[in-house]
Amino acid sequence: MNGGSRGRLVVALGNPDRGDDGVGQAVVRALGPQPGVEVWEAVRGGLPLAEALVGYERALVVDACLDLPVGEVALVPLFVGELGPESGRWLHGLGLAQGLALLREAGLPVPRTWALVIGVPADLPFGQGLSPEVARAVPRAVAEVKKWLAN
Amino acid sequence: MKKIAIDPITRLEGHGKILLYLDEKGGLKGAVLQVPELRGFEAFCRGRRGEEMPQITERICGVCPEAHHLASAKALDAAYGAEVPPAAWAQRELFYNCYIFSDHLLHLVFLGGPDLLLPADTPKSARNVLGVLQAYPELGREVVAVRARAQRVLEIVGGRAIHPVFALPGGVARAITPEEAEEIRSHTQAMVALAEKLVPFFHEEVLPDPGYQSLLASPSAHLPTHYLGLVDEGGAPHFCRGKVRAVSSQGAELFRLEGAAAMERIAERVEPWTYVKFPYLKGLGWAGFAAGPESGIYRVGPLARLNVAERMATPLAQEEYERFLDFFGEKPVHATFAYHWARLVEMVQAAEAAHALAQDKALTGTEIRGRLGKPGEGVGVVEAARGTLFHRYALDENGLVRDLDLIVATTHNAAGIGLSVKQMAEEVVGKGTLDEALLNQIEMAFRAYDPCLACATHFLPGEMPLVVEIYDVEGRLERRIAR
Repeated sequence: MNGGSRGRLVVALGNPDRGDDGVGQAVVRALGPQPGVEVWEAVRGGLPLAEALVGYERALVVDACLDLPVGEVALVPLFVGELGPESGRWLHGLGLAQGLALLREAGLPVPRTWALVIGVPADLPFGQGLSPEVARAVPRAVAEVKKWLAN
Repeated sequence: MKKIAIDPITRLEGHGKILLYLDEKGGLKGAVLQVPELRGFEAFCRGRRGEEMPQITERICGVCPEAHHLASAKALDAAYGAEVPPAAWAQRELFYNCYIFSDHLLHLVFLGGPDLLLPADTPKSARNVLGVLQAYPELGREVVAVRARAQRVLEIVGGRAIHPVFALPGGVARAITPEEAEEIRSHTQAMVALAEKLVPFFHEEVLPDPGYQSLLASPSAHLPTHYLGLVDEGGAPHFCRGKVRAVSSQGAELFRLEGAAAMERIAERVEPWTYVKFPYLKGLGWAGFAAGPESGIYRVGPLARLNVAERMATPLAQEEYERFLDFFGEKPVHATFAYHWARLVEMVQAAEAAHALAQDKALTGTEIRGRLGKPGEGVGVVEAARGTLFHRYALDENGLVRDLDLIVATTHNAAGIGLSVKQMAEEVVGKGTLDEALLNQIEMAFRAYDPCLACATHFLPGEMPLVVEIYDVEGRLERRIAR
């Protein structure tokens, strides 16, 4: 990835009106302002999020995850590969990695991107606030964000 | 190895589903689009402060939060009886035209692109974004770059990347500075330049293609419904202001009303086999899943807006609109695949309108918020890229939401999409083994409407978020096809 010159960005991805899906927001709010780092909250992923990341040098997306045990925290690099033959059959459903690949294919500077994911339960009803298991993961996730910022 | 999906996991729920019902002979009896359900959303909103609604409602949709944001603000304008100042409207309209431009551009080149820009015999493995980029590398890159400029305007005016926070009841949150206006003008100029390029491109590369010509002329894609959309005082389509106009399948005006009165003319049909409500024109009534003058079924979106319009609002768009009408030689145009061409006409208008607004002195005006009255009821209507969007709120004396009702574009079009899918699927469904052919036919009909289903990110990235279920005459599930 070629990256851009807009520095570092941390994006909390998720809907705070859907219970544990708001864990990303809870993490960045607990993190507080960080010098020299932009911090956003977003609900929209895929290509629109990829477009918003254009120009940043490094980005970290903090997101809820259905594929991890509830409360588990994992920091993973986002692999922005080539656009595969199945990419974009339905463009609104393009994932973040594929969106970034499309933008890179078009010559735009996309950032080196990581994801900090926190396991949440599959049932996410309307309502605010985190479940106790997910709330307990927030300090560990904040520590991971700080580590990422320090590197 | 365990797969971890990095994308939002909520928004709308469930998979987009097409239900096909067979008759005794194995032919197609009916087709229905099942759109994702918003279970619990209305209950969640009751009791919330009215001014929170533009932020809450934009989170329900990952495809067009801009539309929900502004529809919500407009509903609050009406609920508080607020007069929105011209500077605030200049911001709102600029923002909204950039959203329409950006969304239509994406659909036209990349989403509809595989149907429009690639030869019909293109193998499945290349009928995608990559195929379009490989076939038209320079255009593809320019589209991505100019779309990013439109997104930048949305960020400046909207106050935040991706999710706008600027529209408030009675106006907007802050004034635009002269420096920001200058930057905006450079972006809108690039939007107009691309629109100017895409019109001849369409006429040279897309329209003459025999495949597209046959889709436009196909009786299987001719659906004579009524149409509904917003128009300005001069009868041109307007994406976020004006009155709601409905025309019949034969072109007669059915009504031209403010949002609240227009909403009164719409009823919703409830069927026992689905939670989806099917809106129809109350005055004409429900005559089953059928098009034609006696049926209340109508369509919304780009084609509908051009059918309810009497002209376009800007010069280049007007020229293209005239070519569009000359080609079909009738109005309303009922060809479902004309949705794509209509999208081009609207994209041109959106670019031109955005550039005109960027040069308007009102944009940097500092009187940006009107006085609010006592809270009450209000309806806000905008045209989302894919069709008319109504928000209706009833606020109590403390400004808390007592009741709300949303009718979104894909719901308006649910019956029309079902009918189009039925038309397109009819020829292949009875043959039993043509799963891929069936999905392609359905996908093309479905894609013409650009329905908003993929916000449900339960779908693996890049997959077509569509499940087709075929039921026999006894109502038993016979086949389930997904990709």
